[in-house]
Amino acid sequence: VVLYGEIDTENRFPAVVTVSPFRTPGKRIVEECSGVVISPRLILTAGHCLCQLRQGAAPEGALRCEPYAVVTTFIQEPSKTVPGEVELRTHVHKGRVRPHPDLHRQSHSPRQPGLADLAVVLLEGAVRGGVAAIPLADSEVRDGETVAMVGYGYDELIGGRYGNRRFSRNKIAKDSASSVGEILFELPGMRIYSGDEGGPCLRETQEGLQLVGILTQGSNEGSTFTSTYPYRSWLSAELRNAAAKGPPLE
Amino acid sequence: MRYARILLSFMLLVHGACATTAGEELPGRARTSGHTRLVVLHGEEDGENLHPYTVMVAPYRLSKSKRRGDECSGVHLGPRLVLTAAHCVCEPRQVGKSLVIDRLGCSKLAVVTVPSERPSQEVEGYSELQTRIYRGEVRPHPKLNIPFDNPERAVLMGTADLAVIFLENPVESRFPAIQLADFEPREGQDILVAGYGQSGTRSEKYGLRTHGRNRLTQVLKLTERKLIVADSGAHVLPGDSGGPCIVQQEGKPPLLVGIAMMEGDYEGQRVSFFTNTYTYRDWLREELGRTSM
Repeated sequence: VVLYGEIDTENRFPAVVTVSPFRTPGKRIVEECSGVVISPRLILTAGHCLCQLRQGAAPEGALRCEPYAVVTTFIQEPSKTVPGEVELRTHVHKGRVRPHPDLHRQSHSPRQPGLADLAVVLLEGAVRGGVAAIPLADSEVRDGETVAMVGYGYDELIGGRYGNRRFSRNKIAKDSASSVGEILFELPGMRIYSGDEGGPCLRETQEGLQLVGILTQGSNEGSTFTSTYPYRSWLSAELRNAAAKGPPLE
Repeated sequence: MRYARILLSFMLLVHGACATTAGEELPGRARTSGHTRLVVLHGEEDGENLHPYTVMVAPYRLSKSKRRGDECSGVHLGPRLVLTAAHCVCEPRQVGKSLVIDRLGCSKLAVVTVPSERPSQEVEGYSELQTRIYRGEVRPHPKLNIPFDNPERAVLMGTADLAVIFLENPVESRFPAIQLADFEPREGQDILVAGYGQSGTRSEKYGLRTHGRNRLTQVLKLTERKLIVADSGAHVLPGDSGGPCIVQQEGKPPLLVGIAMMEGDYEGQRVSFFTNTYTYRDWLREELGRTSM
């Protein structure tokens, strides 16, 4: 079963953003990823979206990260004049790329996601567009739990429209084949698309959304996400660091 | 509409193969990493907002699930008027033994998305987008008639592939509408094309405008005078249908000379076909006059 997901026309997940390396002059980058706002100035995404293995280099210390990333929020609002139609507004932001420290310590490729495939983008100013941050979950994700996965991915089959955010709900399973089974989880049968990587897996509770993981790998057979709970101390330190930057510039 | 897009996509496949082999010789390739050759053939992203009068057009449907695959381009021609290709808003229908696009197959209403881009205050070189949605009545040209059994016949025999959308509300835009040229472009004239076409590769999404230069190679007298572009610059792709062909002389405002019909093979060459708006100038002026009443 392949799940294509639904388009987020009701703007349920405005905290899900696109993330791409900053380029001058600012051409939109085709190979972009998704990400999630976890505080007014902090975006979490997959490490390999902004850091890549240098070709021909030794595995040790061979990962090179982009210094800056561009983060785009997409706010969709129902048209006031045409029923059923949605209007789009984007905001762009720039920030410093801060990979998880362990991301550098391993051979890494998108095909074989390893430990700590995470990076944050520390924005220069607060995220705009009235986007509320999604808090980190205070417990590990459970085998068989249903999570919502959100991203900007697409392919030729489902078609791509700029700003279309898709979401789907899926039961997760522990990745038994993985050597780091306590961190990677599978979304069996769920297909993610180019552009979905870095997007969040969210627990939907009565109190609101909680972040449980980041999509780090997709294939035709299924998808894998990295649980964020084991990395909570690093994430908390990054959140404190972002908050210590003083009131963000609006 | 959807059927039209299937045919156009079929032609695109033929061209996909050509594009890959011919790509090496094209000037301006590899502008940005990650762009495929097909995209270059198609033009590049209009990051400087040079063609703000180029809008998105689709037939109005209540069911959103039907929306995919029938999206086109159009031009903002007057305060309440958008011009597009009729085949974007009119469905082929069976007439006797053949398929025909004519007035009877047209949607009553169409949806127009007007994008407005502003340079970002925060990130140098990037822009921010806001779209506005409008709805309007579809008014095809009275002489619209396109035999649709095959793409070649559609181009050679079709006439008046034009429809205006008479909007319920005037477009609120900081940018002016495009003006109609009061001349027919001459063969060899430099032109610009713009639109929301997609090559079908994963590097492109509908909703991002591309544009590019090319040269008008021929004004061909078929059942009507069509503009033919067969040079090595930017061509139209599915989704560009209804988009503008523009003549821009230095220091002067851009002028509309054609509306994208389709691309295909003609006498062994990759060509883009445009409906010549000069041919239909009287009807266009009349429609423009209606909107100011």
